[in-house]
Amino acid sequence: MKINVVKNVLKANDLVAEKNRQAFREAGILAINLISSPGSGKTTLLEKTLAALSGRDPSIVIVGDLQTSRDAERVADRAFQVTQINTGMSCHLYANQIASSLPALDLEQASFLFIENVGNLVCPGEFDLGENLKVILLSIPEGDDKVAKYPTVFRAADLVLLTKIDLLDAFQYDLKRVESDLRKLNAVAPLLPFSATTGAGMEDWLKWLQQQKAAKLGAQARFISE
Amino acid sequence: MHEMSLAAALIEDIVRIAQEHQAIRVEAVELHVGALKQVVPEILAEAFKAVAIGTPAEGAVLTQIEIPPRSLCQGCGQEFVPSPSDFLCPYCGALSMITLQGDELILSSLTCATP
Ligand SMILES: Nc1nc2c(ncn2[C@@H]2O[C@H](COP(=O)(O)OP(=O)(O)OP(=O)(O)O)[C@@H](O)[C@H]2O)c(=O)[nH]1
Ligand SMILES: [Mg+2]
Ligand SMILES: [Zn+2]
Repeated sequence: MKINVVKNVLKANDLVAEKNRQAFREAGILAINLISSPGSGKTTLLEKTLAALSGRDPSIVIVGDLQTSRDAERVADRAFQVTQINTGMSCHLYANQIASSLPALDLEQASFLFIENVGNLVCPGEFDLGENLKVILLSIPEGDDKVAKYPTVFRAADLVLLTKIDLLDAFQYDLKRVESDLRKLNAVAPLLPFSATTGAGMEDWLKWLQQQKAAKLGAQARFISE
Repeated sequence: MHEMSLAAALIEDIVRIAQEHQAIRVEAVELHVGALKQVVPEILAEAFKAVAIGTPAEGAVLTQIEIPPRSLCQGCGQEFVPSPSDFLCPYCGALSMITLQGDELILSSLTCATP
């Protein structure tokens, strides 16, 4: 017997992701999925960002790693709340893991939810977590050819942070190539040079976060009043 | 690497659909895999074999049909075949953000044995 179906294999994950998104909307929090290769500077970015936001914008962090709670420990004293998810063998987070973390978190009291995905430029791009925005970090030492080599995450990006820009002179690096490769995939995502060491790009990054928050809350207010 | 997660999700669907049809065994499975999906067919096949063990789909033949990418240009309205790293329209040069097909992963049919 042949049974014909049309079944999206990722439907189960996508449904949970949609529920997460709804929870974020109801709580008025902006959820950001941070994606990069291992070691591109996700946790360092969070350390600096949480320090800059502290007081004004309490922020929650969910960190995914194969093993250890080191990254959670690094941000613990600056975050409003932190959850570490150990994914074991899995090279990416699932919507379900985020959903299971939410009951313990006080979303309504925070402005931003940063989800640090497992270090990997391929697999996290395939799994919607329910985030509002995807931020991709690409560090200078990785080389200037990575946008074209890992196109899927860059096509889906809302912002690309070119991290460790302080190391630019130490590498043979063609910034124009990164820009032109990105513009073959993504018309809108800004490409923002950033350094946690020198502070370059920090102001623009914080400005972008505030703009995104205002845009989201504005859109929500319009939606409610309509 | 995420082929294992995909195979696990796939087998869940297969087992459920087979049960709904009172099938005792799944003999063949057909999957449509978009060319833009970051799936390595050989790895997915191995992962499928592994997660199927102990389920009604153990030993089932998995056929993967590749779906070529297609994009629609908002600039000039033409359809074209993008490359995974280049979505510039070959007719007018504008960047297309609309993917019509090629990023899907769809279970399209099961062949089952019934009692
Ligand atoms: N020179 C320089 N080094 C940096 C910068 N940002 C981070 N690093 C260093 O890069 C290394 C990795 O940074 P992490 O923040 O741990 O990277 P990550 O992306 O969180 O790594 P995983 O979670 O393991 O994927 C650390 O030794 C940081 O000190 C930067 O702007 N400039
Ligand atoms: Mg980290
Ligand atoms: Zn065109």
